[in-house]
Amino acid sequence: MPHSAENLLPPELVARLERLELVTRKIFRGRLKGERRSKRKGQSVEFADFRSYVHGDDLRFIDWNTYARLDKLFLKLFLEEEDLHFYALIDASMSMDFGTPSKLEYACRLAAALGFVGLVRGDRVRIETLGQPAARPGPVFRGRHSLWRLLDHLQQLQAGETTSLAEGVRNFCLRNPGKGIVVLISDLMDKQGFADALRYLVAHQMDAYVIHVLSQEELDPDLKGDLRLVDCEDGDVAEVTVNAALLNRYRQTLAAFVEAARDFCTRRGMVYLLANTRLPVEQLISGYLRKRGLVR
Amino acid sequence: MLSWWQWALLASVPPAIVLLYFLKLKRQPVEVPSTYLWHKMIEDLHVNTIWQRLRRSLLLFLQLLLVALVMLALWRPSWRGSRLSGGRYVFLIDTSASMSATDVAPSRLEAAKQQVLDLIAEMASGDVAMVVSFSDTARVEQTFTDNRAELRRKVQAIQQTDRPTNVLEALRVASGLANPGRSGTEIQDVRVAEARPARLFLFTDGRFPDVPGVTVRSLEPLPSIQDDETDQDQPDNAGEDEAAADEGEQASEQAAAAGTALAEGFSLGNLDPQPLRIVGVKDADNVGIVAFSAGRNEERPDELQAFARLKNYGPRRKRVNVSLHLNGELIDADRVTLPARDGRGLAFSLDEKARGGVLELRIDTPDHLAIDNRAWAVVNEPRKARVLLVTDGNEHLLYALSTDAAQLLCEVTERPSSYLATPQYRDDALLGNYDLAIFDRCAPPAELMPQCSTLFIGSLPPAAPAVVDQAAQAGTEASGGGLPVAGHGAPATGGGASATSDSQAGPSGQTVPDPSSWAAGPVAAAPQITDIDRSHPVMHMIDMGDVLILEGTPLKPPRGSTVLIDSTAGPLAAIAPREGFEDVVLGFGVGGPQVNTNWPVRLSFPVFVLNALQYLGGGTTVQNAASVRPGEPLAWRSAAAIDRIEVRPPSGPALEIQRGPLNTFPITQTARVGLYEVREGGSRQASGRFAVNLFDDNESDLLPRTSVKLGHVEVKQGEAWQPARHDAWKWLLLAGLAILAVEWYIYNRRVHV
Repeated sequence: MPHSAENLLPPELVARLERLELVTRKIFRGRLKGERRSKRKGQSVEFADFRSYVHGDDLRFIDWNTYARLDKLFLKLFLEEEDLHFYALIDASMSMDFGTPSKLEYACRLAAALGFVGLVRGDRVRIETLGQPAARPGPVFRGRHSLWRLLDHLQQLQAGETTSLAEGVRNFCLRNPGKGIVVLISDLMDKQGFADALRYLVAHQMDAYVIHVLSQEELDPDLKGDLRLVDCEDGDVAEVTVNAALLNRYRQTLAAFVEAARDFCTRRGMVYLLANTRLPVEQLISGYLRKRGLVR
Repeated sequence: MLSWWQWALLASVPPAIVLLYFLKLKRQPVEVPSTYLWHKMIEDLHVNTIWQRLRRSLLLFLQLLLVALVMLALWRPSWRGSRLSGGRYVFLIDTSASMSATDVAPSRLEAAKQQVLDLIAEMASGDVAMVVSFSDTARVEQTFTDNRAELRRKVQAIQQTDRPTNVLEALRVASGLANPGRSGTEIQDVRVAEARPARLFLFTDGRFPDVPGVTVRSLEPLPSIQDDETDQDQPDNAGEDEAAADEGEQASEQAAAAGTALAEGFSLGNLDPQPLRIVGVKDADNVGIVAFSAGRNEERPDELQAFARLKNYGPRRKRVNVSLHLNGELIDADRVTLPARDGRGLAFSLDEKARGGVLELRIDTPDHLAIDNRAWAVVNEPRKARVLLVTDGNEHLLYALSTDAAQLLCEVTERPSSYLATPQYRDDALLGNYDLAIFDRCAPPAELMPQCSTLFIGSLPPAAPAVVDQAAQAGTEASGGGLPVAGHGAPATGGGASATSDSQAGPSGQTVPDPSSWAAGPVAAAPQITDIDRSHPVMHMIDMGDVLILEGTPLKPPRGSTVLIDSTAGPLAAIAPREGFEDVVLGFGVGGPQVNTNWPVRLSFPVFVLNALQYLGGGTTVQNAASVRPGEPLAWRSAAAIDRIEVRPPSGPALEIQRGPLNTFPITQTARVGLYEVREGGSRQASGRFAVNLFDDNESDLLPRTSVKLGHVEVKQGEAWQPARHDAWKWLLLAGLAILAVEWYIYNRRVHV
């Protein structure tokens, strides 16, 4: 991988990201105690409620002062604080290895930045790709000290996976039954369409974000003449004679495609964001994602 | 034209192009992240497939069109059109005065030039044309060339003239140029270059007389093999074989014989006269001055009278205002009503103040031809003619020369016959100090004929020195005695002394008749006058019925002379030209010591002397200065002994003219109508003036003719051109080129409909 740790997460970006934290609009149950309030009542310093004692409750939480006054056993309940599960799902198909910088690199930078935010806040961060089989989940990172491991993992990622978008997302859902935030970073260029894939995410009831990464070459192709366009994934060929009218039509098609994805996501409570690889990651996170409410 | 296999090859081109279009375009492979969007887009495009196909095949369509055009061009398509064809053209453009008429805007000449320009534009490449402009002279503006730009330039440069029309001159020039090796007048001649048929286009208003004696031949292009023989043939036997050629030669000999019979015989040769191009409209409106002169009143010599004749050439009755100006000042005006196509005379009486000067008559009502609306007449101060009388005493003649009328006209210097031998006579004769010399029974030496007109009474002019034969010389020597009698020893009627020489010289003169000098027969007794030529100015108002003559010598005047008095014995008086002068010879003595005739006591004698003074001594031109027509030469006589005069035309630079050989100043540049000023010897003041007036019925008449006779051929006005083949291949190829350019542009710029 050409992208180094420096590239993935430049120090100045680190400084800015430290102030941010991941936000979810849903309150999920975490695996471990974390820094977030949970729906569950548990052991924390923050009082939540009382309830009557039933057989088997931990005697340590009985409010003895109330028992002394009312001669009834009440149990003090505290709010539980839990960790947040953050998943970055990267599309590592061949098509992502395109553009300058390549879309995959851009996706890795984005994942590194968001992962770092999660690590700093003690969240559970997991970086996965679509091509991973269902039985073999990716590594979990937790705590600031795991940053290097995370970056290391990202550097290992290579384009060339052939799993379709829908299948990849399905596998992801199978691997990670829990709740949390999932950020799908993909170009959504799948011949079968993106709808199935996104439906899996919706069904998984995760707080889903779709970051649609497109390179400048795709947004505004610099092509001319009689060309045979070869799909880098499946070798499919499209013969076109590029002219102004055709380019115009391409832009219209692209706009329609983007609009369809955005529409699909918005209707299903997902957040959609179109990212041009030319747009700096920092700006994307501190600007667009902050506005969309992924970070705060 | 192509042969069948070439056509087949050509026909296979469009299918080949279509086939080529079915071949796959070699496209450049480019790797893209995904063809997903592209396919999606192409699917969209496929919705309007027909449109897409059309769009894609635009280039194919253009290429097929291009090939179709090229094939069409190779087919040599053409349409029947009116057009020049045949290669060689002669454009004769009339520039005479009538062509300045403005009935066709801007003028007839401009319209004619436009027609020529149109024809030039229709010339095929390789065609050659010649442009000749003509009035009374022809001018080759451009010899045969195929340079159309040059032809156009030359046609545009043609200038209007004020001259009359002489189409024969133009035809001669055109024929001379179109038929190389031809003199234009002779029929049989040796050809020096190949003569080829040419078409003759005449652009005129037809205001010229028919041209007689023109032979129009060889109307059709001739077969090249027989060209030499058949060229002089009649067109109907532009034959195929030898026999025809022989016949043709016979025919041409006959034609030659016929041609010599015509004095003006002239053949157009290879020129093929095309229908006339007549410019001008029928109802052109013109009132012109056809005559204008001024003269002394016969009854009161102090008074000046001006006479004019106006003619209305238009189809309608017209009323015009006429004004008369003397030296630029209006002195009289009149309003004249002229019926259609009729004229009227006008007379103006001028008072005594108008002794001399320039009279100008103007028609102030505008019409289509402006050039004949002004006329000038110059009344110079009268100058008396100087007359030399060489006589040994003739009181009747002196009496006739001293009448009042004669005194007004001339100054007479009387000399004896011995004067002829003196060196002073030599100077006077050669310098032309006299306007008229009268030799009474004597004659000057042959080499010393005076440089003026002469009147010989009872003697003969000497023969020209070069042609004097032996007998004549002998006769001259024999006669001696200070009386050099004429070459053939013709006797002075009264001189008995010369009777001996008469018998010697007479026969010799008859045996060797010299047509260019005077000769006389033997003396005849009592010849009866049978006829006199009253139409000649010298014999004007003379009746000789009561004149008796004792002895007379019948004259044998030289060629070109006019017999004035004819008698039973033969001509008794004749007038013959000599180097620009005229000699009148009376074959009988008048007056003198012996009475030979009773003419001196008849009224007709002083009248004859006066006529001779006026006519021979220039008496008519002294008073009323010459008015010439445009282009006519004028011989200006100067009283002063100067070498050169300066002539100022009405427009343009002044001309300097040297004294000519005939003691006159020949002024030839009189092309423009108007008043000319003559300054003698570098003086500041005009010493004389003369006017150039149109005065031409043919030019003033604006009614265009529709046909002209050239010899026996009537050339009619024609609009319809010869049906000709118009080749379209040039245009098709040009269109093909344009399509090619568009196709290239589309291919490069990807523009779409």
